[in-house]
Formats: sequence, structure tokens, C-alpha cells
Amino acid sequence: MIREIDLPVDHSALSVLEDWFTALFADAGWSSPGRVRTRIELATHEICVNVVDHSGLTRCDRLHVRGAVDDHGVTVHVSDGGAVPDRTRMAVEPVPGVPQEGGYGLMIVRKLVDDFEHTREGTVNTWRLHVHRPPAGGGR
Amino acid sequence: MTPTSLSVTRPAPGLAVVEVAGRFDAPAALELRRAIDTFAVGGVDTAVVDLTEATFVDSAGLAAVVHAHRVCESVGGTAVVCEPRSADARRVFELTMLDRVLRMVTVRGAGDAA
Repeated sequence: MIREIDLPVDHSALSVLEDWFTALFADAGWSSPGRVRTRIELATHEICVNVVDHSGLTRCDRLHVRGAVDDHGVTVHVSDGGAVPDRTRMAVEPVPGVPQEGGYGLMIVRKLVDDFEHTREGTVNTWRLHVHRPPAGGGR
Repeated sequence: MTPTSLSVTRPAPGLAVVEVAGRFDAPAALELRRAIDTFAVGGVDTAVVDLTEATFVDSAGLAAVVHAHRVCESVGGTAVVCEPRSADARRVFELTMLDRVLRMVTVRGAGDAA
């Protein structure tokens, strides 16, 4: 099952992802995704926040979200036509437990998903996130 | 879509209580930061950030809570965070280990198990 949505590059537009994920899992017949849903939803939200904050795009631009659910889990691709991400910044994470006023987004993403990668093709960034489907009766 | 509400009250001199319910994401975080930035000039040294009814907390919300912590500490006070009832909303504090450095308390309501 695949579902796609285009969103304005704007913080206020991202809350629609809540209902979008509800529909994605419902379409796939996954009635109680539990933690899998909350993990992929927050991780996707954080990637979109990262695009809004750092891509150089404006609310007139769009980012594309594609979600796919199968027997292995859920995979989301977030694509944008913004600037090449600063890999130096991406590599620096806050020290866990030390309060600072930013930089938590990618740290949270890495802790929530099972696979995470960024690719750049031409002028398009694509962020791929995957959360495995837990065995029956399992989950994390 | 879960709506957000944010309210600020000043129940006593030097004390401010900010309640955030629903989604605590970038738009709400910006509102919280604006409120907090008035605290120092308003004589507030103790802030209670009540997230009991927050159902979703992202990195922007987290950063705004850290901002409250820093502003209060800078004037010799403290910020207390009422942790979200929602386990999902609490999770970002645990993932970043900020639950170990922020002063977090659990507020139990009448409907909660003892």
C-alpha cells in the first residue's frame, strides 16, 4: 500500500501528517500499528522540519512524502528540491542529557527508525526512513 | 488533526505556569518562547511548563522547554516540567536524555491509576 502527499515547506502544514499516517495504515489494513506508527510519524515529521528549517525553500515550495506499508514494515521517502544538506551539521549531534536549544531533530530520527539514509540525485534530496514490522506480539 | 492550545497564567509573584495541550510542535514552541522571553523582564524566576495534556512533542517543543530552563536558571530560578501523560509524547525526553537533567514531575489526575 502506497500513499503520497505534497506539502508546503512550512511548519504549520506538517500537522496534516497525523491524519495522513492514520490513512496510510488504515489503507494497508494494519489496524493497530502502535509504536511503529508513532516512531515513523515523529521521524518523518522531524525530517520535514529539517527541510523547512535548512533547505532554503519557502512556503511557496513543496516537499513530497511517500509512504509504503508492506509485510516488512513501513518505509517513508521525503523529497525536496532544496539545498544540499550540510553534512558537517548532520554529523554533529547534541550530547545526550546536555541541554541545548537545537539540533535534536536528526538525533531523534536516528533513534526512532531502523534504517535512515539521505541521497542527492541532481537537485533533489531524498530522505529514506524505515521501521521494521515487529513480530506478532512484539514491538519496541 | 489534534488541535493545540497554550495558556499562560501568573498565579503568584515570580511564578508563571504555561500549559500546552495537544500538539507541541514548532508553531506552539514559538509561542512558548515568546511567553518565556517576557518572564525575565516580568520578574518571573520560576516557570512551570505543564505538558500533561500534550499528545505530541517534537524537537522544536523540546528546544523551547530547554529555553525555559535556561532563562529561569539565568535569573537564579528554576523551570519545572510536568511530563506528558502520553507515553509517545514523553518519549522525546527519554530519547534525548533530557528527562535526566530537566526537573520533571508527574501530575496525576483523578482518572489516573494510583
